[in-house]
Amino acid sequence: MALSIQQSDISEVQTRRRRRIDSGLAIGILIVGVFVVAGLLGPVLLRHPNRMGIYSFAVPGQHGYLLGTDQFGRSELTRIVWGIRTSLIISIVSIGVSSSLGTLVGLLASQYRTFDLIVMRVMDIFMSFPAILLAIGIMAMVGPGVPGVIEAIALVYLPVFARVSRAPALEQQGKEYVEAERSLGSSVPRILFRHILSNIWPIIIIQLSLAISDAILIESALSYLGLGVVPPSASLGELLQAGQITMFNDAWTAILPGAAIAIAVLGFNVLGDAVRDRFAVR
Amino acid sequence: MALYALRRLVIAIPTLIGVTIVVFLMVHLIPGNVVQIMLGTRTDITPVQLHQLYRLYGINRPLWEQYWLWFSGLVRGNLGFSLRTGLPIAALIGPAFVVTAELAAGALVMAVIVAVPLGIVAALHQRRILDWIARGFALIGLAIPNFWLGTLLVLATSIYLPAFSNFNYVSLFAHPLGNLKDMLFPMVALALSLMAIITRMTRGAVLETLKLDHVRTAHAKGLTPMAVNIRHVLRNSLIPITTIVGLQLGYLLGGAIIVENVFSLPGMGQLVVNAVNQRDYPVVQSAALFIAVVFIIVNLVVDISYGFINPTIRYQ
Repeated sequence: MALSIQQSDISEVQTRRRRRIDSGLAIGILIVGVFVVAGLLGPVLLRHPNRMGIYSFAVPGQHGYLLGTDQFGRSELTRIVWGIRTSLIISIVSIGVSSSLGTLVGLLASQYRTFDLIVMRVMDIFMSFPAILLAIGIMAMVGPGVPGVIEAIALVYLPVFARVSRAPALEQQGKEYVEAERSLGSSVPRILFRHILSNIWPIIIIQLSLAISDAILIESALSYLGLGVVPPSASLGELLQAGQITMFNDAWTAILPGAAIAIAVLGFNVLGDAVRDRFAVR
Repeated sequence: MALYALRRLVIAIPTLIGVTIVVFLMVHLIPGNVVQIMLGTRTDITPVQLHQLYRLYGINRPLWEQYWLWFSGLVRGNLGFSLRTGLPIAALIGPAFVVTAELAAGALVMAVIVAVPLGIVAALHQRRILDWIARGFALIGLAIPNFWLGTLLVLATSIYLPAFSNFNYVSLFAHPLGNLKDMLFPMVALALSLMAIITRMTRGAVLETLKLDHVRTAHAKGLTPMAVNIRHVLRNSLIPITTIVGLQLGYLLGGAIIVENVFSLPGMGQLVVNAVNQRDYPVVQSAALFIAVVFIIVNLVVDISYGFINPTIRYQ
């Protein structure tokens, strides 16, 4: 009897935990989904983001503008949707590059001792800078613009992914099945990609969503400082930078872009946490 | 213990040298050199004068010699000179760093005062209303960018609290009250995301401690819940909590760089960003190096002090 009570207790805790993770996953997917759809469909449905109208500083709802207009009479809704598109492209491309290159570095480091010693020292050096400072330094080198921001964020996150994949890859290298594979004469790429990578990929996936939310923050910070995406292109950070100048005429121009950044970051964070919990359950 | 500290120090030295190389290359890989940037579009320079300028800045020498000149200057405490003002960079960094350090320290104190009690309360009320509030706060606090919060604070103070709205930086030592008045909102802007992280981690640490055997024993021997919480749970959660706070110290530095620019505080962040915008590369180079070195030292000190707090770390 006592045993059955305990078991039902455990399963109840597990279900509750499961339900929490699933609701987190649902909320995360919902928010991220809305942003991705807005970024994809916005350009099709809405007009050009730099199209000016005759009403400047319209408040939300005024003159038929759902989110109002900025100082040049440009629709805030259109600009924010285009901004989401730019910010998402930058974040996803940069994290895509840094995660694939970083994982490659981590895998190679687990295989070759000398490569490990040299490259991981270099990675340590790059991790000795606060992320935003390194990004600012790279922007100073490559100049403002979308490609520069992508390079900066990719370089900031490459060492993170290298470190994240190296430790579990080293752990796998010590296992018997790798030993067996090696004695069978399998090639190094086969061992690294087919066997080790297929065992460590959840660890990398967990990092992805959280890294993208960080990337959105770094992009907006750089653009806010005037070093990242510059006018007339719209990114969420650039919109906030412009809004900060005009906010005493129309507070909405500063409130709305920041809210969009916060909601996007919230969505990717919730999604990332839920994915992490989901994998930890197994 | 001394051996552990020494080993950590020795490991840090090659990293430091590597950082100087990265910073040097970053600035010297920019197309165009210092003299060209300084001259801009001026054309009234004779080739002889141009050559003299090149010699003055050592640009006609090989890259490694330029690096060595800069590096040996650094070791002797000479950080170089600003292209725009001609001032020694050390004189620019000194007062700027005081601002950044004050901002970061204030934000840290603020975050710890709010977040540690909040995290403990949340853990002790797990899955009840206070826990949900604390977790919601942590989730939202982490998503709000410090520069947006800062912008909103500037906007709100200018409308509702005009007395707080002119952010004219005065030195802490000259006008302590005026300084704190101006630093209050920047500290809040910087502290929010840190509060969120510390709340979350504190809650986790206390929940872990609550599961331990000695806590159950303490309950079983009839101690009041209050006594168990203070004497057994809180004390044992302190090590992970200090670890978390220490880990965040370095990241405060990065946050401060942005927040200073929101509130126009004359700190390291504003120094670097202005230097980038004015293409004053010697300042970018030395100021970035300075921040990185502080970052490394802070992390090193935190690492070594864990050795004191938690002896098991030393042997790993």
